[in-house]
Amino acid sequence: MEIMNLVVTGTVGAGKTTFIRSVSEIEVVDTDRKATDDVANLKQNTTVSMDFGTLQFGDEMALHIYGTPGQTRFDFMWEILIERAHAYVLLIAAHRPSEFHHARRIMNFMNRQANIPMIIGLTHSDCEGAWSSEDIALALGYQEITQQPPIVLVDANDGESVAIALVALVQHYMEITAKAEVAV
Amino acid sequence: MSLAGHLSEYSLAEIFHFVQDGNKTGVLSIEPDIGASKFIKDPHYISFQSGRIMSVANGSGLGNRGLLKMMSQRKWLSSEQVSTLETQVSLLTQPLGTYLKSRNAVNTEQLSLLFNSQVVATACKLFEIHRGQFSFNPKAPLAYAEMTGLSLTAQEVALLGLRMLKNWDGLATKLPDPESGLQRFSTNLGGLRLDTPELQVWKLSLGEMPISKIALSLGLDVDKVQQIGFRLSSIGLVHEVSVEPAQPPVNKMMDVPKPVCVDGGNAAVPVSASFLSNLMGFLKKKG
Repeated sequence: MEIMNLVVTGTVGAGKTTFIRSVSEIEVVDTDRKATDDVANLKQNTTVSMDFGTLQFGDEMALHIYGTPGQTRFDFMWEILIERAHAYVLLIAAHRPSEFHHARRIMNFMNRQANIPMIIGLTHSDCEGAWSSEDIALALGYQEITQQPPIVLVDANDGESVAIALVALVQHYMEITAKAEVAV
Repeated sequence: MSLAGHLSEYSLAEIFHFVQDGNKTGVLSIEPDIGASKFIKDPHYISFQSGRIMSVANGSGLGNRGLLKMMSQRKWLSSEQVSTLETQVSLLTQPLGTYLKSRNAVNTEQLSLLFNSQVVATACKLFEIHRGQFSFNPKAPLAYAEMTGLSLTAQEVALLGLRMLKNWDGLATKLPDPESGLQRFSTNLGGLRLDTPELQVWKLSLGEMPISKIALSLGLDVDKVQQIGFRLSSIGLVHEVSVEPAQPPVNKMMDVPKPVCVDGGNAAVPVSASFLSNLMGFLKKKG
């Protein structure tokens, strides 16, 4: 079986679970558990959650999609996911500027853990108070458009929109790996 | 879609950074909440041209004649000149300061003094506001009547403002964590002049040493290094990074559910071209 692993990460409420549910062919696996204070180092009854969905598109070919927990404190869980990932999408709710700092921290963490292709998916971009993709890129620290990863607008509730975002991610993966092969 | 939000979410320095990096032209409005600042009560309007700060106006809006008033108070212009100019400023197509200098009504030194008073000193006070609203209007008309013709980059003003900031309480939650590291973006400062502690911290911002150790090695208080880290981060010279991934104690890690489905595929093994081709075809049908 040939498998490609993609990770969907992002801020709380950006639509990670919905994104995976919208496109997965199986019921999304959700590993909800109560975390201990020591592990979470935060409030009691916090839930650790990791979503998993899959797309089978041949007898021996499958796309596995993993969603990270919404909290950065579970970094070790993220490591488990990111170390096997081929690429990832960072989901950000465009109408919640208060979350952009957290999104940047997630991105920095992910990029330090693994040098893999990524795209940014903006959800809720039609909501009141949503920032433009250009301004969100600035908030994430991208000063030059040439340095920034692809940014796509996505409706996590819409399977077609999610599929288009996945096309952009896979396309970007292909471009990056092709460049890497040329460099070798 | 607008660049707008709460100052509790984004500090003024960060907003300045966005505007400069975006090379934006327009007017940034800062509206402090009641009681948010001892010194600033009114809305302030900061005019930007290609990411540079041209003027700061306060009060009831851009129609103010703040710059004329400042020159009048200093008796650089006669009351007749002020009266005449008041009827003409709306027709200006260049900064008022530039216009008056071209007519030898004011000189360069006077304009520098005005700029320092109107922009640098006022903007520095604005950094004390941590509760309020901000919004950037790229379509707002440029307030030529409030402009001296001089300008500074938003980065320079932010650096000055944060250096002068005495009360950091409002920014406490935004300061980098003492156990985080700082990673600089570039090996050069792009012409910015840092003071000695800033330069020392910037040199150690290699993403390897936590802030607490940087403070120890430089003989500075941790909170001072946090403030410097915030300053450098706000103007885009460094960013906060985790030095060590947060790991739970080993015995606790056993309690945490391992993702049972992480059992196939490996990033170390790139997927084949035929896999990608099939996947793209499959996804495009869905999209």
